Amino acid sequence: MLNEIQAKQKVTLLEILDRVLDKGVVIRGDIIISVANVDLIYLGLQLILSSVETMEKARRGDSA
Amino acid sequence: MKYLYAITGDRVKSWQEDEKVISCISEYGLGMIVTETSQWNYPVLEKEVWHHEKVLENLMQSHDILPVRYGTVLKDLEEAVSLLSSYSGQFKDNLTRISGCVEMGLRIFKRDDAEDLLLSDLSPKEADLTGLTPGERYMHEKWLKWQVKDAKMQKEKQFSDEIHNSLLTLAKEGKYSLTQGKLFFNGAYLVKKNLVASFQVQLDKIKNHYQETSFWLSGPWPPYNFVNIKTKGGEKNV
Repeated sequence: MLNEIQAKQKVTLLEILDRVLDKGVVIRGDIIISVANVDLIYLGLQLILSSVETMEKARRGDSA
Repeated sequence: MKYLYAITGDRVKSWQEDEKVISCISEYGLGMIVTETSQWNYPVLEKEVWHHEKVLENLMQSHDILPVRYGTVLKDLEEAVSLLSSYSGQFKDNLTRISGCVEMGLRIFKRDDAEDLLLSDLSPKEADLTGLTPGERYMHEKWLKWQVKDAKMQKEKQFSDEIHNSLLTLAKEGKYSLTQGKLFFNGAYLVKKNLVASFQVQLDKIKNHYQETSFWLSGPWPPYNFVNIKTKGGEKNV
């Protein structure tokens, strides 16, 4: 059960990272853009590139 | 300096979250949700990311919000007010668009044995290759493989469209992208708060028809995927 909870927390964190680092309103100085898509393309973040693998581990019930 | 979490159409009272005072800069009928900070750069730390998300999720309980990307820092109050002035129209349009809604995320994975299930009716028939030269045989086999790959892509697209259209009946907006591999569907839906439970029920019904896949529903999220703001003053990207 603990493993399952830990796995779910990790998946939740990855879902959060997918959004807070890659979506929403982007402001730099006086420039604002938004990335309004759902592509799994991340800006050079290896941390996120591993997310799919981690999610699959969680799905299989492996401890992470 | 001010760390920026979100933009809202309401005045929001200050509160404390993880020992940080969260306050609202109100101008032009908008609010910027901020906290004082002394650092420009925010490394991606688990604790800080959770904090950012926690502030947004608290806010979205009672306000419509445009979530701002993690790590956004403004120089001072003047810069915050200037941004609100420059982009007030677009901020308000986006707040209207997402009013009363939350985002639900959906990812669909193929199960380990799904490859065969999806392709069971797509396998090319054994062809009579007698009499063909090695070169012709090679080209023929390559063509058969391409046929299977093409059929598989079409089937995944059809499968995804069916699910997407079914979910759209309960969503204000939705979008998805197809990816290669086990995770092949990545979608986001803008759903009225009072329809979230129905959305989940709808997905449960869909799941029963697609046994060869695993569905991951997440949310409710702030509407990260449904904010659309165009830059002013050129085509610069950041």
